[in-house]
Amino acid sequence: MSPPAEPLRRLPIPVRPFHRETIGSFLTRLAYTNDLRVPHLLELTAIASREPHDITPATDDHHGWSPSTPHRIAALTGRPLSNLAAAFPVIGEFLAPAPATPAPSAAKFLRACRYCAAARNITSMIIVRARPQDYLCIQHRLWHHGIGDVDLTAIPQLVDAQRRHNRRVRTLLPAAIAEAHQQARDIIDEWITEPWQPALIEHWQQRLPLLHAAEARHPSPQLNVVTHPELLAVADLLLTAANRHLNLENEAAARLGIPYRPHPGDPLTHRLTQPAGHPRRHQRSQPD
Amino acid sequence: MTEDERFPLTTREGWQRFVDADAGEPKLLADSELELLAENQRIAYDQDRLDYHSRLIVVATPTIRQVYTTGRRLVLLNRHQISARRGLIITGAAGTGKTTAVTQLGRNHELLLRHRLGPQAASGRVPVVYVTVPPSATPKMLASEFARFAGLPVHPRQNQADITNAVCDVLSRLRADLVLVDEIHNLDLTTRIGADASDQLKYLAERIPATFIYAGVNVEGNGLLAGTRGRQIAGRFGVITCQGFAYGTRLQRQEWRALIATLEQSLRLHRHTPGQLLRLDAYLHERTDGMIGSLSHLIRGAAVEAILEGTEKITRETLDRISLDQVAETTRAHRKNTRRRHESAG
Repeated sequence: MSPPAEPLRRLPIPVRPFHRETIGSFLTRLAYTNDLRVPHLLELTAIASREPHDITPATDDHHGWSPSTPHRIAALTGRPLSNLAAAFPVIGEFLAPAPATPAPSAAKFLRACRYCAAARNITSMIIVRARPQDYLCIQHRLWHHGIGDVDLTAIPQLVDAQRRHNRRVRTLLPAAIAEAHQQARDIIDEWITEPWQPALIEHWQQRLPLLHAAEARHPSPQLNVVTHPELLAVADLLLTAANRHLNLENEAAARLGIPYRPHPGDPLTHRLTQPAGHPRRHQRSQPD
Repeated sequence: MTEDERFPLTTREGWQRFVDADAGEPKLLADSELELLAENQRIAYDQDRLDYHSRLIVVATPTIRQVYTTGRRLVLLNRHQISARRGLIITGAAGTGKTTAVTQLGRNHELLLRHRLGPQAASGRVPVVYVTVPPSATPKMLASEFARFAGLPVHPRQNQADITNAVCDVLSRLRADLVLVDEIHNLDLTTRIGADASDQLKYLAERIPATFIYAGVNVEGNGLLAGTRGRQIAGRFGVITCQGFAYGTRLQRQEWRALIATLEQSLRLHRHTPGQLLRLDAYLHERTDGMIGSLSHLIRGAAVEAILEGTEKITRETLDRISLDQVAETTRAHRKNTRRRHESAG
């Protein structure tokens, strides 16, 4: 792609990067705010796009970039390149490619809280690079992990659980947190569909009406919301078990808030007692 | 040329540079201090004065004061108008100070806004837009001039409606409340293209909640106020005519002398005698035909010459060596011939 002939000028309406915003989200906002079409902005930044919708707000890579792209973005935004590189790691990576390392796990993208955005005078949608443990906005008590926002005011224990979990995982590697959350999700899904923990099912059924979702069926965003405290508790157990021996019955009971009896068929027990990689056969028999 | 100096007045960056320009006057050193300067210091000192004299001050002539007062009043009156906002047309012959008047209005408006809102609040706004109408302007060209000022890149495949919508949206969000359209005489309403461009300008004036000020050469005589469209413009725009300074009555001569005195006071020459220019007021009027543009050029040119030559003063001989524009020289020659004919006939 040949870069435009005229020198680039700062666009008339400046746009500030949002915390952990993706580069695609930022460029999309820059275009819309200045009444430009996204393909036009891509031409101005010398980003080659093979497909019509290659660049979306969830884009966070430097595919198609030319050597002048970071400088063009700096010129159009009127921000120093160092400032942009700090806000967007992808720019820093492009300017100073790191030595070859194993590919990181797929990045998780999330919509930023609209109230947090509005506090910065931003009314359009922002997509951020979420951490594995990010699901909601603690400050505004809004669930963002899904299509619509869910107001969590009626379930304060959810926000408290998230706050505690964030503190616990502060020093852990993102890859470990991501894996624990994925495993916890699998365990919770199985607890929803199989009657391993009827006490938990009762808790969740009591929470659903608080979200005006008494009829929600698995899978659904509302079920993800009501099971979230337990998901975090299970993730905590898995992360703890990775570092020390766990008294499963007592610690699971304490974190889940229900009596817990280890059973080989129960997905949590199975996960914590089987060697890594050992496949689990689904047990049809009921627990004792 | 620095990065900023690339941008002309018809761009946001160039306009900001114009508004921010500090017309600081260089301090005239005493002879004893001059002698102590090293060569490179003396060169820098002279360069500063050359730079200063090449710009010189903008004198608040009666026309500039009238344009400022009327323009400011219009901006205030239009503030809550949702449509049919009133505008102003500045017309007159070339060299009578129209562009200076409108740009000074814009500059003062922006500086007042900054003073009122504070620098931080004002920084998110573009209160003044300055564009010139290109020759044979089409509606798309006109919209592109606005886009160019704002810094909105125009894609070759964008049509007039796309550009216009983008311009109106962006300038409204930037809270532009004064739009200066210069060279308006380039719009010829007797042609189809000119009529369409005039409609485009009217459309922009409706969409952008700002006061529009037009400036152009002999606007009344070139068709802008003629026909249906012209009558509509005439119905909403007041007119201020810029004229050369006359030299007939005592009052007119006083105004001319006041102008010269103000310019002379601003000179920074080491051996110029105060009042020397004032004594040449008749000569200066004859040379310039009372046109402030020509007068400014004559005095600035003479000041620069005085520094370069080392004479450090403006005399009649210095002024004689400065050539002016064709109109001024032709008018002067015509006057001389007329005077000679009268003298020989008498």
